[in-house]
Amino acid sequence: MFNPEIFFQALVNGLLMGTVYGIAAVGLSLIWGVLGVVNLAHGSFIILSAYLTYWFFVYTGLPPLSTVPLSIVLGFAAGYLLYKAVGQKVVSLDPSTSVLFFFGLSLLLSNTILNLWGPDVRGIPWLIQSFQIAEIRVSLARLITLATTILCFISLYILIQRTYIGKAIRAVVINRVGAAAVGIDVHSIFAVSMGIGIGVTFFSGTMIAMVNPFTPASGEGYLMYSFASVVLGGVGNIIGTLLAGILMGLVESFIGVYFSQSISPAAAFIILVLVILVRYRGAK
Amino acid sequence: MAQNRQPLKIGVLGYLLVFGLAVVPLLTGSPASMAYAWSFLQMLALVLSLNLITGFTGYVNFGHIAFYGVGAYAVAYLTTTTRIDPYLFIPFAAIVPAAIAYAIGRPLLSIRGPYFAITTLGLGEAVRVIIVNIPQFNYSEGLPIAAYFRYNVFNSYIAMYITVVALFLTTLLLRRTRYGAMLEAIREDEDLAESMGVNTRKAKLAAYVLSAAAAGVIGGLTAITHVYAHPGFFSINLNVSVLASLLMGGGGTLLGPLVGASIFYFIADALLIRFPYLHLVIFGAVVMMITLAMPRGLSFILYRYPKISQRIADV
Repeated sequence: MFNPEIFFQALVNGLLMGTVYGIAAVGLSLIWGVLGVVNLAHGSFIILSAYLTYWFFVYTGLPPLSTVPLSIVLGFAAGYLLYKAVGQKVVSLDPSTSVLFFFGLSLLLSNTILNLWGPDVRGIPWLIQSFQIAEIRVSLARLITLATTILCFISLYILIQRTYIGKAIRAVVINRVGAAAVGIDVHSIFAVSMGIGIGVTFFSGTMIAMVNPFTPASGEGYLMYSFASVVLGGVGNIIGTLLAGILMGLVESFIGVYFSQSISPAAAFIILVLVILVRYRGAK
Repeated sequence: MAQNRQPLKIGVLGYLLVFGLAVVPLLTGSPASMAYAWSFLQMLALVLSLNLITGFTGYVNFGHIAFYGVGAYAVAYLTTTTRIDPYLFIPFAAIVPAAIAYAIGRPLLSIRGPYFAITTLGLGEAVRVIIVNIPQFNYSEGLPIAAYFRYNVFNSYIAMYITVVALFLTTLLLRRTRYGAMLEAIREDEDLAESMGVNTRKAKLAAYVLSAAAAGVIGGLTAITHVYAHPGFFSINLNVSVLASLLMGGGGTLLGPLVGASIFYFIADALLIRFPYLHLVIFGAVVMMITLAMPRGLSFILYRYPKISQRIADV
């Protein structure tokens, strides 16, 4: 039996969460597209940022939204410094070996988080109210998250499309050697892209902390969604990745309503495998 | 990589030494030393089994441990339903994972590089989720089998010993035969190998099925030794430990898995004892450093000294 109320409720929830998944995946997509390395520590970066937001909230009592600039700056610094420290070596590695490097980083980060904050579920009790439009309930915190995410994405889009650095980043995505040949300093573009990528990832972590509870292990699920979004939307294509992320949110929401919440990561994985099989067969 | 393939060099000698040493716990008969040596042999066997696919063909498999878990569940499930000696079901621990690998191998191995790594990572998780949701497998509690046979520490030790010897002989054979050279050609340049007439699909699939069967047997033997099959068998950390040992030692070689497994086993053990909370943090840092400092593994250091390597190397 079809119930339009439940259907539209699932649709709205899916769109609200999907946008957050989308912005999370954009960070992964950017790093993958520009540097050609797969950041397997992506989920750990998201959760690290979520815990930092939580910390900030507990110690200052300020609304978590005010953490956003700090989170982006911290993320940028982390990414930039990571590239400056080891990036050049990592990029030169065989792609499969660099995956293992990021796995090591992910182990390091997620176990550091586990040691600092313990294994308990944490969440930020902030704006638990919701309001109703024509039988559909919308959580206020999620709506604010949506607005902030759209604002962040538009700024990122302008940065990529309208500035010199953005132009250089797009050039490196299309052809690394060609970009170097016309005088673009590829390594500084790599460092900046890594910074922007991790910065966006940290931003998404703050957004996730505002609407979802989290544990040190919840990075895995977000990593899976992000992978699926990136391969679906196109590596390095930020609009495609965002749209694919929204689709993942819808898939999660509808599967949660019509089947069972516990199998939705498996659904994301099935989409991922199908897309890889169709699009990336034989790709290196 | 290895240009000269002469018999009985440092790699073979290393293994013979280990096989000799591994007899000592049997003679002394002390269960503690046997358990310690058994864990090392299990690690070595896992690294050797992953070496068959990841080492020789260069396909980084993050889902290898799924076959180990499936092997464990195959033995435990058949033992609980039939109530006879679990060692009789070891062949099934090889057949079931091999059949799964054969079924998914063809599409899976057409994916390359990081895409393959990501897909297998998800695949390992998916197998765990499926197993945990099957009522016959007791959900997340798993299948204890202690009630159905008399546990004997000697038997489980000897079984693992034989498995390691078999895997050593397989690896040695691959280092000496045309088929092994085909796999190495795939690792170095798959397109070139194909254009030279190597049936890459068939070769990759065979290596994948073989490594899945080996992992299944190790899983089945581990389930018997632990008298229990549970979802903890699908531990991604174990998968990464095995992968890190392999890359640390040097994939696609004979000496590499031995060097990697030995160093890893003793480092991980020391870390776990000294830093019970931080050992995974340190291990993560170790993995990062290894991939940066020695992307082709420790045993390739030998090749920096051609005069020595020509005489003794059989890595």
